[in-house]
Amino acid sequence: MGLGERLLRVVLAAVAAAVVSWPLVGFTATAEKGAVLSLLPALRIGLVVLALGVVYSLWLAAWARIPRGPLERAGDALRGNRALGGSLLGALVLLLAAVPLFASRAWTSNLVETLVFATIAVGLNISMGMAGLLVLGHAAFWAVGAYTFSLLVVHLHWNFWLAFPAAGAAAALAGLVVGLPALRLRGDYLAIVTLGFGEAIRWVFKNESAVTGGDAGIPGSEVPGDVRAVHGPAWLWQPRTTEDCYWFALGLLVLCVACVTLLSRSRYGRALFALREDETAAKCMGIDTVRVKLIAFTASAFWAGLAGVVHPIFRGQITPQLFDFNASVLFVAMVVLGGLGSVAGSILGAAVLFILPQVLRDQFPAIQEYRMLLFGAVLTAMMVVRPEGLLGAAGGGRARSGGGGGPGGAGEAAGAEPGAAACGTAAGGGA
Amino acid sequence: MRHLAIAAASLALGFGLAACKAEPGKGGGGGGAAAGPVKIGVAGPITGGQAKNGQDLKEGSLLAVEEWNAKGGVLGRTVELVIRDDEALDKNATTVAQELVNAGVVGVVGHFNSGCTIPASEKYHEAGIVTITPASTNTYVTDRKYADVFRVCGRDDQQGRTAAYYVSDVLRAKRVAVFDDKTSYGKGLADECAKNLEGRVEVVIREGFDATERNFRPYLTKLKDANVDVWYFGGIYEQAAPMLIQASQLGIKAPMMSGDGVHGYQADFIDKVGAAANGTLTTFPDTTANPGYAEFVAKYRARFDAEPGPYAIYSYASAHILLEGVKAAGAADGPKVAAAIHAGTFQTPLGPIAFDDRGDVKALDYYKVWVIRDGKHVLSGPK
Repeated sequence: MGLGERLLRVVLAAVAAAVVSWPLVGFTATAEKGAVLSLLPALRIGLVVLALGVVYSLWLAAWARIPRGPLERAGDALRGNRALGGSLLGALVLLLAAVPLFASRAWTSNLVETLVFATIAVGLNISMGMAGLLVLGHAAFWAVGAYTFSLLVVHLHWNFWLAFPAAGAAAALAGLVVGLPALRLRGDYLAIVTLGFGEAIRWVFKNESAVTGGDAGIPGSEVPGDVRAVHGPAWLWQPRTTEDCYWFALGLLVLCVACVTLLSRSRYGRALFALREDETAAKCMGIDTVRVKLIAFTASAFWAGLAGVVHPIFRGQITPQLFDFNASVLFVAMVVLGGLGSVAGSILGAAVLFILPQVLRDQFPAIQEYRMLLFGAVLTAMMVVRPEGLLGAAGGGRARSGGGGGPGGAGEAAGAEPGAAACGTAAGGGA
Repeated sequence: MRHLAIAAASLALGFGLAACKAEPGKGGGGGGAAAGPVKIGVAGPITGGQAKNGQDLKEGSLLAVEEWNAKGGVLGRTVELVIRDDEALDKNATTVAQELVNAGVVGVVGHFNSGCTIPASEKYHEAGIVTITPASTNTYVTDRKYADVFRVCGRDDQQGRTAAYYVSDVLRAKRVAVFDDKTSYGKGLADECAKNLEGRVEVVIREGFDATERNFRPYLTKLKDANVDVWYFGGIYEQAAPMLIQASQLGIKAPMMSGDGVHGYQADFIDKVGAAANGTLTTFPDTTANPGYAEFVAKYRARFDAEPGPYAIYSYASAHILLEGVKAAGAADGPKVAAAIHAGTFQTPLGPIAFDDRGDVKALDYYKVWVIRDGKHVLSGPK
């Protein structure tokens, strides 16, 4: 696509954005005159889309002119040198660990949630990204972990380090119990089963108020207590403050990334990728599909359960509302936005999806009311421009030929050759 | 090693953002800098199905703060409002609370819903910030006996008792159904009402549904078959409106009775429901009887060109008490302000207000029962 044609499309998109958003943002309710429809806000939105589109088109045009040589060499050098890559990764983790020391409390707490969501997304990537199972109720496993932990601490006074693995185990068990019958189903049916499970779990926690505190949460008015309480030896460190939660969540994420990366390189990982590409063919090759799917599903649930431990401590309280359908959808969006099958993509997806609304709220108070509208628009735009996700299949393909996934051009390549792109992911997962 | 580049990218993102917002809120707490404005938080359902409540909260507080600023602020500093939206969801309330803590507010007027106030005030209490809720009636809000949590409105045990005695002694009902929306507020209120009905009136149905539910026909069909004299709903007007419309469609004659969550919403409840709203009973204090009420309404109309909702006056009074507390304490310091509020008596449009050791207003059963007649709340009598 030439620059001229792209600019024409940008103008059309701007007009479309203005027309579509007109009735949404144009109405203002006044006491006397009733609703007044104004064209101005919609025009403003159209102009913003136009400006962004023009900048993006120009960037694409410029990107095409940048010589690939140096970038490629740098990429090759990194890939070829394990020690360098490893130490850079280590330095990165250390740097991340230092964030609470200089970031504001507000951003530390935002980053805690980002880390938790990243862990859940990386876990969900096992079943969604690698095995291709659409899971629409993943928040349920997160809830099982969070509630198991809180109930054990509040009712039975378990020590943190005992309740923590128990949360993961309970979630994995729940995954196994749901997975056993459900994984004989394919595609959409599994999505519906998980969706139902997700809602059912939330309602159980809501209704069993004598134990779980109902809608008031745990601890709350119906079940008082303290999830941060120390039960057991006082010298044993356990997360209590926001900073503690940050370090704990970071550690959990590192552990999760390591395990999932190892899994993706193992025989099971290969089997999962095969399963995603063609279930029938995988079965013909001798893969026990139900067993492999069950492993993937249980592993995903396990990580969600472990991640569930952070929120009770971090917030001091959990309520069923936290684990609603929106959360499940958010997890799916994180994995899809980041790129199916890409571990780093899931982390990036979680970062973008969690931090973007916060930035919109904090940095642009004037557009606070349109926050979610804008958020939706950004997501839509992202999926149109890069349907394979930020670091999806094409990112892997590009990594071989350039410096880690350029915009636009890579997306079109993926669209043209889905098969080749998928192979790129499989290779990327193990790169 | 492709991961590396990507991880670096995600790091840079989080990092850059963290850096660009660094410092202003570090440490949080109520102290704040000696110079600069005194910050006051306002948190409640600014958007969503209960936006009217959020508007009352926001505008009531704004009116009070503007009056103070017109007189030169407090302690020689201007007063700044930091407004946050919890959408009436408890999961947002803690996030919002953390933001207000980080913004360095000395106190918060809010939240609106008990289910939001309870977890949020845990955060404020932890950070030494004063909470004054103008509307959360759940008993647990003040039963924790936090020295820095106050409530300007009544309690659900008072409100539930008033409703229950009215049902048994005035209406002389024999069979009653009790519903709630399963929130801290709704369930707490309905529980108090049911507790007081026990042994005097037969509660034939006791059920709850989700606060997001909008189809009540399954419950109302059961209600119709149960042949009750009156049915109680612990919840908010946004659900009560469709519920009453559906009840009239099903031909239910028994009146609904509810609490402060349904009282006083002329445009959003009574006008919306129309004739079907007539006969509905509510419990709410007679705020119009207070000497300052007319003056407040006049000021509110002049400023916002709109009718105040039921809790606008409470929000105004809450902000006023908070600022009086800052003035009496002589510093924008949470614990000192809390002590000053406990010690003082404050002149508000709701009458003079002083607090007991729990943080409740020292005025006993002041709930009245109202009935809707010809699209208006009419006082139906105490007890």
